[in-house]
Amino acid sequence: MKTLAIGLLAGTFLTGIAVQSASAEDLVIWWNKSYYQEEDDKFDEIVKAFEAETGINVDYSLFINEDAPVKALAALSAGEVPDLAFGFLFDLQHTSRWAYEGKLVDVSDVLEPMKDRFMPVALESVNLLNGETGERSYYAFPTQQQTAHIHVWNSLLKEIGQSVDDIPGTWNEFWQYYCDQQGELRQVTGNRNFYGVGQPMSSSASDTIFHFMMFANAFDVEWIDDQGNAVLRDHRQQLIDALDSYVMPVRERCNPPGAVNWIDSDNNVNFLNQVTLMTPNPSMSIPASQYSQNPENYTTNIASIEWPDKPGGEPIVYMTSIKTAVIFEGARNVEGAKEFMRFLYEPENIGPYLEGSLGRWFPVMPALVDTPFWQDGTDPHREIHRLQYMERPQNPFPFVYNHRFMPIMTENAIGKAVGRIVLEDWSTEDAADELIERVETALQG
Amino acid sequence: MAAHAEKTAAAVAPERNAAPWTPELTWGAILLIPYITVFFLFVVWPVGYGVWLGRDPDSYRRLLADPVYLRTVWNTAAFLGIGVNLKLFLALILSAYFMSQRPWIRWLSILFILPWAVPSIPTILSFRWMLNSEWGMLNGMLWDFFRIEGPWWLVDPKLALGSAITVHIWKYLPFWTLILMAGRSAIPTDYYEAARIDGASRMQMFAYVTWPQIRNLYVTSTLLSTIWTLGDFNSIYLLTGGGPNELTHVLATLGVRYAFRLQELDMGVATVMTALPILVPLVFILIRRLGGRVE
Repeated sequence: MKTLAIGLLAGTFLTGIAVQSASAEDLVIWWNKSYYQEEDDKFDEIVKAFEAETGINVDYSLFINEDAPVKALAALSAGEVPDLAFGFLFDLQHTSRWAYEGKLVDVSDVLEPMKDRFMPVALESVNLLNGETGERSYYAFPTQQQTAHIHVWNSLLKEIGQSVDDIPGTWNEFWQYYCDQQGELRQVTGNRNFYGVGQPMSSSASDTIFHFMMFANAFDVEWIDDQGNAVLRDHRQQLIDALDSYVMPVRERCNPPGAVNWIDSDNNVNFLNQVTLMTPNPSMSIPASQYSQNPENYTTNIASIEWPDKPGGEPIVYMTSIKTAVIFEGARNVEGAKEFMRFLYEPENIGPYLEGSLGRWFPVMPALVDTPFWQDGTDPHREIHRLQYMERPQNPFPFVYNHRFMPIMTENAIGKAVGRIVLEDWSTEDAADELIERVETALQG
Repeated sequence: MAAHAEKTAAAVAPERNAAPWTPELTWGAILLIPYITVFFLFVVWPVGYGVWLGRDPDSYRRLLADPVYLRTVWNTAAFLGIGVNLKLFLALILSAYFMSQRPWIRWLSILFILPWAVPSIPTILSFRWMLNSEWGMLNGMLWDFFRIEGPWWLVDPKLALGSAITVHIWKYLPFWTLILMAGRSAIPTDYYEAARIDGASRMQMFAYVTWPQIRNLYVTSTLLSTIWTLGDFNSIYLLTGGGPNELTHVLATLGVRYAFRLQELDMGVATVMTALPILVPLVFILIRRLGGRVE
């Protein structure tokens, strides 16, 4: 504990020094370090172009995913915040709560004039409630988005005389298909530990939340209404059905048992090692990782496919996470930060920046998709990616409507419910009831 | 005699109070300033800040209502009870073995010390990979050599905690073996020669010569190891991450989960604070034992 306290003290102290070292005219930006050098290089180019155009000196730092929120929290605690901060995990962990607590600057003056340039789900996700004013407004800049994708080893299917075209498009049949191929593929691959499905089942992986949210959408589970009130109890049976469907591969022994311990990267690792035939993933990181390393995997061996239709046959609604940049109250150069975001939003800036992610992130502005990068019909993954975001219905996470849903995300109450069933032999009904109670308690604050 | 001592003390006391402030005392005070500053900055302030963060009684109420915490207390008790005692017992046995003068045992002792000497992250992560249910080396060997489907080491919560205890013992056994070897080597060889002349068996020599000589060291080592093991974060975090489903946490890892993953610093501090009823008496007993030894 002593170490923790010293660490916090030192972190707070160094944060203060880092922010204070910039002069008042400078623009201090904390940005999330990207997965690929191309993205970071593009960001650097944007910063230099902004400096040249405006004469504002930008002092920017890059932080890895997990560090970005920790740094932001330390900065808020120290009262010495950067002018602009962006983190891939902000929206999933903090943004709506920060808005509610009055810690974010209203950025409507930037977004309102360009509202028609954004996709509706992007604007909906940053239209957040401020608890101090009791009003909703735009408290964050949407930059890019992610949703769940499904990847399948096309090359393995070919070995047993099948192809992705043989995969059923309806919910239950879709999941059962992979379990059914497992036996034959174990023989073909000679791997007795080969599994049909690679679904995270752990409370350590945020992927569990992301994927289960898709199952919840498939069974029409509603967590909270537009006013932020809990309505999950009214959808108890749907929740039970969704949980039953989610744990089906474990019950059928066609999901790796170790998935109860997976962290976010483990489904990628198991899939890329051909331990599983398919895996869902909340970004395009799996094919993107093969783009340069193993082009044949990218172009031929791995396929990205759409999620199946709901059990009733209606098209699935994609749960979408909108990545956010924020300006904290107390920032010294608020106008400079807004100016930077206006500059970033220019298609010639944000477009190439997002394309640098090799398709990992999708733009929140439809105009950015009208480029050769996204319209390249020969690319086997981006085409599906574009289809999912542009032509299928989307909805934001429940915390957009009520920031009090955030603890459900951070403590991974969904992963916990899944674990209750697959590890502790709870009935699905009991696990669902515990989850309902936890959601209701959280929403009561 | 006592009355005389009191009188003498009373006579001396005013003289002490009236002692002049000498330049040496001034220098002494000046030289103390860096120590006091460092002590305040790096001991008093962080510990005080920690206590201040954990001052809210509501944190403790919430903690006790969390089923994960209750499971964690049980895990911590098992981790300490089994981990510390088994480790020290094995160290006691191995210390006798490594006291042998044979050259190959000397070489073996160098290899034996390696787990303690190398950093935790690569070694414990290696264990994590070896114990993987699907493609870990251990289950792979069980299948290749015996056609046995190995257990799901890190999937079954009891096996996962057992694995973490095993890793902890593997990691710290060499250190405690060395300590007990040092204790054994301090026993005069005359004692053993005398016992041998009297016809004592090996067990009798252990019971009547070795054990009485190293008993205090063994008990002190057990106390010290309990204190250190209570703060052992690596063995659990790197092997199981507290999983599956938060079922293998100990207080150290649960505190970090609250503080950093759930962003509830007060709960994280409260978790660690609940170890104080065990920790403080242990430290008190340890200091008394060490103090007694010095006197």
